[in-house]
Amino acid sequence: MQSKEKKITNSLVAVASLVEAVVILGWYGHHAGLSLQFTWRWFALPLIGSLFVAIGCLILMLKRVPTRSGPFYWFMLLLVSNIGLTTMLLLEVLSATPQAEAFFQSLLVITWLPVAVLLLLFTVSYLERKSIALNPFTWGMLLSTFMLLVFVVGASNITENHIPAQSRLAWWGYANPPVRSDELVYWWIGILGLVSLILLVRAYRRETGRIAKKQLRIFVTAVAQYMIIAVTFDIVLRKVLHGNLPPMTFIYVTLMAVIIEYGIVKYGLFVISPTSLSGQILQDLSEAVVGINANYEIEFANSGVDIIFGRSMSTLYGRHINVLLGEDIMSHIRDTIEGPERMYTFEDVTVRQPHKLVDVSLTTSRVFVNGNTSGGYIFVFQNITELKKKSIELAHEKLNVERKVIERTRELHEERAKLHASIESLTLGFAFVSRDGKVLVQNHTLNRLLGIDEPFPDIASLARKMHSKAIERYCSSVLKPNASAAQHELAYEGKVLRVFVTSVTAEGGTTPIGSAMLIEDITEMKVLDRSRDEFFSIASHELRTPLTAIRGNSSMLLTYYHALFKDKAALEITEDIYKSSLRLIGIVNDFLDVSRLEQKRMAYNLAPFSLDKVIEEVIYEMKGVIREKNLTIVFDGKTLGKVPEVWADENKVKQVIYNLVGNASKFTENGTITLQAKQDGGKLKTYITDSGVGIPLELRNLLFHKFQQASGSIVTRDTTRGTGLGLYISKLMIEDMGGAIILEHSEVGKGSTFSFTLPIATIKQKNTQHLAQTVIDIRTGLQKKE
Amino acid sequence: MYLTHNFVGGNNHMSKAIILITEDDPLMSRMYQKIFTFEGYEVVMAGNGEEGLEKTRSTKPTMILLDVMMPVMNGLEMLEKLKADPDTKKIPVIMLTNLAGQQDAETALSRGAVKYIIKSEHDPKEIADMVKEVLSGYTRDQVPPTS
Repeated sequence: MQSKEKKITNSLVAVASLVEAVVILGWYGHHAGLSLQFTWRWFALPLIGSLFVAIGCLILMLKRVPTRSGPFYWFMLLLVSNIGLTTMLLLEVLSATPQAEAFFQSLLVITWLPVAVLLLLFTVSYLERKSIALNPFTWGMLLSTFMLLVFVVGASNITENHIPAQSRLAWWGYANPPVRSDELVYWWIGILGLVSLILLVRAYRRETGRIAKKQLRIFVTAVAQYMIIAVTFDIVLRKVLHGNLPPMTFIYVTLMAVIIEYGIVKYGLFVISPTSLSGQILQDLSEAVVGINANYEIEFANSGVDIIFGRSMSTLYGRHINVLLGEDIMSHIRDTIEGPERMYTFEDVTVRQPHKLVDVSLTTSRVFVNGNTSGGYIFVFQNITELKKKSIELAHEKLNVERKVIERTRELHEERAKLHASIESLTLGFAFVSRDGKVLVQNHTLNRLLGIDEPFPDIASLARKMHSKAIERYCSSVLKPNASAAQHELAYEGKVLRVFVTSVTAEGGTTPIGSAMLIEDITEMKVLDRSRDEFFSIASHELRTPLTAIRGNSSMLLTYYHALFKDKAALEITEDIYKSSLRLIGIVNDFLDVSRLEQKRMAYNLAPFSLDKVIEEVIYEMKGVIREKNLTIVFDGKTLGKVPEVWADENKVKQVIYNLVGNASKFTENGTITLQAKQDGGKLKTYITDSGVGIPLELRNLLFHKFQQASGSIVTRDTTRGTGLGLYISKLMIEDMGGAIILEHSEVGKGSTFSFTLPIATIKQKNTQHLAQTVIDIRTGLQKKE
Repeated sequence: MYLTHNFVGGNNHMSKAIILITEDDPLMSRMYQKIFTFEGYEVVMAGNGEEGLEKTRSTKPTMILLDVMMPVMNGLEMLEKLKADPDTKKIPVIMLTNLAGQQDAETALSRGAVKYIIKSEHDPKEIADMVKEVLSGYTRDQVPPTS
């Protein structure tokens, strides 16, 4: 309940009680026709004290006890009754006339009678620990009890024609009218009190909770003193003294209230009791619980039956259990549960609901009544449909996982086999070295390369075997950050080994897990390299030397022994020998150039130089040929000294120009060859134009290719015009120097224009003239490749 | 035009120029011996670098023609030794070889040769002209550069 609502309820109860009290008071007084007069008596003092204590108790309860449960309300009403009782007693004591005294005494009865009832209600609600709300039913019960008591008192008044409590008037000095004992009421109240006491004592004896037991002891004390004093004073002593006794009710009621309140304030009010809840819990369980007697008739069914069987519990009472489970299943269960064991469990029972099947597990338990086994059974049904579905799914899942694991394992094995085969089939030595230097994988090639019989466990032992720490260093160096791969050459037992090391990082990882090492025996390659170098020197030297001898000697014959050639044929023969030697030398030179260029072994001495000068030189040196063929050669002199210097190898460029001008002169008769140099962006472009035969369209794409002359076929090849390597060599050289060589345009019968470009030397290049750093092998006279 | 100013003849104020040809291949040495004899020089022949050094010391040639590839001691080694010896370092050396690499030429020139001639590229007469040209330049100045 909300605290605001609580307050409203509380105040309403208080106001209602007050109004009721006043109405009853006025109504009763009016009918009695009383004149109320008061006088002071010292006996009023303990009553006033008791009144304060009672009010204090009420306030303390409101302030200190937060639990607004049944026991709280009943106890509060008990306190209110006590206040009423004490007030009426006080008014009675202070009355100045016997009529007033009698009037208040009768009112006192009205407030005194509920005390025993409220005590019982408090006790019951406390022990049950059920929140008995102030519902109409409770109010009705309370009111009926109360009215019954009033009726008893009122009836005695009417029939006896006197107020029962007048018996006490004698004690106050009034004339003692004939007394009729109100024993009935006393006995009634006494019995109510006794019931409360018995309930509390029983609860005290059963209670296992330490605190609850302590609290119960306090309550027992409170009610016991109430009973003892009440019985002593109001029944025994009153009988003995014939009613000549001061009223003591207020003492034992207030004392009881104080003691109970002490118990409540000290330990609080307990609201949850497992024993009281167990019934509710059983009722609300989602499991269906069915109690059957020895005849298998249903005596109890909880709400779980509704859920699991889809049947209302109320329709089941007294019916045979077969209605829930069916005869077939039940007969089977019956055979089992009548066996020697007390409990049985059936895991797989199917229950037919109107629209679906439900899988349940059933646990049966035999009920013993006074040691007799025929007390019936408790059936507990649990819905396992979901559980079963889940377990089936789980089983499927498990199967799936197992299948996948098998598949993956097989794949893994295959992968490993493939990997192993690949590694073993490598012609290179392979090793995988972990971060801590352990050799995890190695192939046989590696062992063969290194001449080792047994696999080595770690890289350190390999290094020892090789008498070189180098290999260990290679492996560790690639593991450093920003180093991924490295290539080294290593001399080992007369072999040259190339070691390629790379770091290996697992997918998704950042730190290398180790290094992979490939070792290749490149001894043979090195030897071949060297042989190739030697081939160049031998080819150039050994081929040229005899050619030079032929050329030199034939030329000397022609120069110094002209007189010998009386016969013209002899002269021609000698001249042909000379020319052949020239052509052969040219061919040898071209072949060597091509080999060098194709193998990228051509050395370029790059430097800034003036192209004009080179063109002038070529023209000067070719004068003889030009004159011979009656050609005009034109160099656009305007550009002289004006074009920027190029960054290239002067001798190579000269060779290219020689070649281009040579070609132009070969294919031109009585024409003109024009040379022109122009700046074109960062390049210098040189044009060589002739007025010769031109190149037919279909032959143009053969230009710049090896052994290709611009003629139709091999058969029609013009063998007098060189090897056809000239343009190819020129193209490779120009491209190596960062330029391009193309056929600009050509027209058959009118001539062709070739052009080549060269990079223009930058200021920086001009300032720091590159000097080729070469080392010559002193033994062979050959340049060494570093 | 140089032919008209024959500085090598014995009729001049200078003695007849001595050319030392260091060449291992008899085909080559015979040919160059002939042309330089025709051209009026006194020719001394050597078959390898060691012999070349020996002949240099004994004959004090005016000029040395030096092949590169030779047995026992190659041309470049001999050139180094010539240039290291104060007695011989002033004698002009022309490398006469069939090694056509540009780098070889540069190496030779940087070690003190005055010229690098590829044999196959020239007729013997042309070589004789080149030698004459070099020789005339030095004899005029009387101070042949050493390196």
